[in-house]
Amino acid sequence: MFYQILALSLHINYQKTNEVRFPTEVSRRELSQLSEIEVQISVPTTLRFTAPLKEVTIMKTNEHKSKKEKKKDIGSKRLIGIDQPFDYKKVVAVTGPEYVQNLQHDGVASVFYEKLKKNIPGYYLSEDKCVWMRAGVINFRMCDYDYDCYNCPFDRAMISAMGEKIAPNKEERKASWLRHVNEKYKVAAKPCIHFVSGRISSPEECSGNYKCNHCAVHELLDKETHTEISVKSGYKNVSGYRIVENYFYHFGHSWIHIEDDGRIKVGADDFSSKVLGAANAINLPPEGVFLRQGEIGYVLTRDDKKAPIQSPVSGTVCAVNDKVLNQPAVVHDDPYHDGWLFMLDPANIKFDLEGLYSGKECFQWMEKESQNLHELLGPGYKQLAATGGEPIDDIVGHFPEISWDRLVKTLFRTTEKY
Amino acid sequence: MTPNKKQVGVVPLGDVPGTVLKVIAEHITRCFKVTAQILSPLEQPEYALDERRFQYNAAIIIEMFESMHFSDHDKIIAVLNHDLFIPIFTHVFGEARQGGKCGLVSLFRLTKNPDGSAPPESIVLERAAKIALHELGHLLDLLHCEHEKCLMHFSGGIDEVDEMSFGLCEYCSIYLHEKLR
Repeated sequence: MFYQILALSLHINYQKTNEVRFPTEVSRRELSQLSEIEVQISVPTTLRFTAPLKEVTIMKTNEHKSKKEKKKDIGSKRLIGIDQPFDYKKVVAVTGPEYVQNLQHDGVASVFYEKLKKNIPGYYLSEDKCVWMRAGVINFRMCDYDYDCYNCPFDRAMISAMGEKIAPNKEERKASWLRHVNEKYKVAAKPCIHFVSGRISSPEECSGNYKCNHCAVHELLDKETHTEISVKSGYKNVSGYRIVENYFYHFGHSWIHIEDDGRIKVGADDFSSKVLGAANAINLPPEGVFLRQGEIGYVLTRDDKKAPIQSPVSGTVCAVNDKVLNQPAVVHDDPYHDGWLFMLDPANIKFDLEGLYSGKECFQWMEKESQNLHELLGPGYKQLAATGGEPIDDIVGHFPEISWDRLVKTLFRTTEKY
Repeated sequence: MTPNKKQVGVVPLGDVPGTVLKVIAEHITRCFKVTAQILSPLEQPEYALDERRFQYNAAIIIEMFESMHFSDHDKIIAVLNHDLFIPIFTHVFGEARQGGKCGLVSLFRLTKNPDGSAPPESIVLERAAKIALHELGHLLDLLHCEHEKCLMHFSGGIDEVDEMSFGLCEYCSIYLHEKLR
């Protein structure tokens, strides 16, 4: 609530005056530090920063009022940042005057920001601007949360304060998107992932709703396989289609990559790019939607024809790649990097990974899919294996005689409802 | 391959240098331990020419060979000078049906290096032999292999063909041994 009020007041100021009257905002992390070093937080200390940003001008400051004091030693690692009120004498007693030489007693910088940044020994300052500053919503704030916006209290407060302005009808959009895909598209088949890769000839269908970790067949095969997960992230060529070695792949031709922070990046693989060519539009789930593995996760559109693609894992959509929404061709041109589609906050990634291909399994699956694609051209192309050359781009564009519905059903295992 | 008919026929389509055919037959005999014979040349497969692409459709040639009768040979490797393709590929160096009867080798793109220069004849012969062995591997039901040095690895470019060895990896060797037993 405290942060919401702060952010709201900031927002209201901005709306009224078109200036940012920036209350000293203290992040949750900083707050805990401050309370431990006996610094009283008196809010709001209202500052106004005027352009140019380096020339920080203090328009008004409030006195800090001490409410209660606890006596604890100030740890040398617990540092004070600019624009945060603190007890000058106590801090100086511990750190020496150098540490606060450029700060006034209320924590306000007395020199240009850039100079200040250089002159505060040991004080950690991020090198770049807060996303809200970049977006022009606020005039000045440097990121102090390592761009971990997802967990940043300031970001949460800003989102809360901005409310409908940044995401109008958000809940409605979530519900409407799910309703839309569920009404129009459906999963056409639920094949066993080992059948799709050609590893086994039966069972053809998955009877366990892709709970591979509970599947006896999967367990049996798993024991036989020593899966090697490479640390390299270079491309590998499988029958002419590129795969990235340390990604995981869903049989519906999506890839996932587990990011360093544990979130899951999702995209479409090179095979789908080659087959469908450059999409005219991409229908991505809005942030906040919960997707289940195997449900329709996004829809690629090519000349008014739709290719619904299954979500490779379960999780809540936490980010969407705006670049591909504005330029869908990026997915085709760089499917594994710039062309990522959305990020998921995973629900149960350990179990979901059991239903994805990696390493040798991925190689076998892509080989089989290449043959499935050949077969769509006619019986004369069944079981053909080529060496040399590469698949042509935009296969559906070059072969309009291949039925779109059959292609989508065969290769992506989904279909449109009619 | 049936036990009593383990012979491979090497068939030139049109005017193919005899040295190439001999090298291919010799490599088949040495590497796969099956007898390979050079057969009488057949005419160029004009029926498979795609006039839009000025390339020959490998699938049509393979289908034609599958309808032909070769009494003493279980598998056929046909060699031609023309550029081959299958519809969804830009071109192919070779093509075969998995577990089928006939594989094709095109010399068209083997006579140039990636930088456009002409390689020595020994390199061209080596490339032709590798492609022929690779296609024969498919005819013996071997799949593409993930090991980059294995003969059954998919080679997109001519440089990858050069990197490929004449040998099979451990797994492909075992599989081939089982097939030829």
